[in-house]
Amino acid sequence: MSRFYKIFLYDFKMTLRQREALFWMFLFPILLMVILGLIFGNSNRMKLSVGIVDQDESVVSEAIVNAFNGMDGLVITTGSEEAERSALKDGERNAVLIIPKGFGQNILGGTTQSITMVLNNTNVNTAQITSNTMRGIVQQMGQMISGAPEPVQLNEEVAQDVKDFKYIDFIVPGIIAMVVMFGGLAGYSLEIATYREKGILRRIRVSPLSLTSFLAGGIATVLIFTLIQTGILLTIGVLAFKMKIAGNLLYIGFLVIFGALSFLALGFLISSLTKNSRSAGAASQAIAMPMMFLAGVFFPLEIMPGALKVIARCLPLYYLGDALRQVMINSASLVSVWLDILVLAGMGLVAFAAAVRFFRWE
Amino acid sequence: MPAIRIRDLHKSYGQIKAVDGISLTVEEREIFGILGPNGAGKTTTLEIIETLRAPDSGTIDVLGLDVLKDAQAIKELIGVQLQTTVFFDQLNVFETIDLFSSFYPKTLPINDLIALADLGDKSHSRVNELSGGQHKRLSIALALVNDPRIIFLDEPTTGLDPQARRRIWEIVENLRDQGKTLVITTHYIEEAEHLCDRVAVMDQGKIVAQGTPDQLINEHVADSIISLRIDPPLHADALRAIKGVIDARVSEGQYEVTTKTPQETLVELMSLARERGFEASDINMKRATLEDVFLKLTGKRIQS
Repeated sequence: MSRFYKIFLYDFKMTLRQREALFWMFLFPILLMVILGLIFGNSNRMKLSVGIVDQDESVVSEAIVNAFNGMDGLVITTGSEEAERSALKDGERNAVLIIPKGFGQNILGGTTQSITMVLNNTNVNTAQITSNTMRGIVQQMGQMISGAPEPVQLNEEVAQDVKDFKYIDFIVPGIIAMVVMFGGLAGYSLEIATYREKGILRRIRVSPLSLTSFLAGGIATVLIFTLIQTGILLTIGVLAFKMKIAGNLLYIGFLVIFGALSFLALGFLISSLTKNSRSAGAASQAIAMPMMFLAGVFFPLEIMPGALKVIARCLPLYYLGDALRQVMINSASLVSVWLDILVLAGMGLVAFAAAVRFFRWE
Repeated sequence: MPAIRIRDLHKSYGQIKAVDGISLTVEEREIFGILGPNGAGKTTTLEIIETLRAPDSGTIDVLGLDVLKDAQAIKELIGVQLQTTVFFDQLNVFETIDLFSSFYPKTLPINDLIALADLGDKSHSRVNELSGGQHKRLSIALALVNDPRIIFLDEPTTGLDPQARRRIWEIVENLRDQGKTLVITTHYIEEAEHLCDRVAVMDQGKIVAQGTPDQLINEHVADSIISLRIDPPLHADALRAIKGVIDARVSEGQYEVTTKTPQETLVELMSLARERGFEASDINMKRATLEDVFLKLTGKRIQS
């Protein structure tokens, strides 16, 4: 145990003495969070997210959905009433429009029809803008279809118990997921590749110490640093941006450690498959950088084009970000994010097995 | 019991026979040198004894333990300096030794190790600030942390200036005097002759000669070379006629006489000078070196 402690202690010390690494570990994610938080913090400048529930399924209602889809400044999702209302409660919609059955037929027959608009009222300004925008659009469409002055009435309903969801609440779990990924994947692969290149792994091999014991010290360092980074990001989020953490802190800690182990395994694999520290660094950056941008860390998946959504769902980082978000924003339990945990565990185990299989001492 | 006993060791990498059937015995408390040019198989041999590589065939005992079966036990009894290890840039000398000490169950005090490796003034210097010689000395200190019985040094002075080399020689001799067994590889003739009690001369995976440096020289190149200047000049044939002389050459007034009986030849030379009335000056006796042994046995030079 004292042996493990000493190896951990020196590994920790070495990490602290690497200024460049410290910048990427601490300053970079904080800067990113502050910049994104300041730009999008009040979320007014973000596109309005509107869900449409088409119960009518007529030519007319379809035309309305298409018209909404073609509009700038709006992000449209369609789904069942239940799904859209629940998304609204989670704070993921500004409004949900419900087009009732028989709407198309009646309006063509000249009868006045009503559409229900469920409004997210957590931010009064945004709600006002949303309401006005929706009214304007619906009015215009009704006139175009029937020619009558006010053929469509908008029944406004204010949703109850909506989570006060701000961009900062969204971005912090994303940045934590990113930090976890970089620590395990980029940091650790480079560390092992460097030790191999310098001949340190071989030197350890001629000592009675097992490689596992040596690597355990490095892994513990990564885990501790990741937890410290998480703590700092959460603190800044709460203090500077009034972010609310709805979920259990222990769950967050568990997901951070679990995700870090999974990405450590991936980093270990990269170090096993690359020739030297330069190629390990390049390979891990080539994997981490696109993943950071494509996995929905900075922006909700809903506002991304369809192809990118598919890509995001193929990336392990997406699942870590999703799990952290579910826990932090929706106070989900670990059981309810079982799919995310399963994906991360699967990736970790496969990567670890392959890393051991292809491991080289020199 | 010998410190190391190797019988008929073979190791190939693909078509290349890195070690091609060598046998040798290292006694306890001696400095044993493996001398040979780059690529002779010295490092591979050393790494097999150190448990870093598995042999293709052959038996290797270290302190009575089998390298294949008892690798873990052997690791606790040996200390290893690998040829090219670079240590942690972010740690200083003291911390590096402390860290490596944690790899072993039984260790020497860190300050003793720093003193043994002559690094007293450098214990708080970062590893990346050390000179080449200091870095080599640190790696020797790290080879000593577990107070090993056998110490392996792979080219401990390669790339160092003569002064730094001498400091390392002193450390190595000091260790032998403390009762350690040392095995070193080198391609420096002076190092093998000055430092090693016994030497195995290796070429192309084979040991071409084995013994003390003196034995090897006497056995393989028994001749001595007398060099001198002669004024007025003399035809070399006159020197070849002297009893015991094998060959005589002249180039730019410098004469070299190769002889099996240097003492008699010298006396004969002097009387010849008196007879013929020439003056002999700058007389030097050159002893053959291990380089001459290697040249004789392989037709090549160690350092090209």
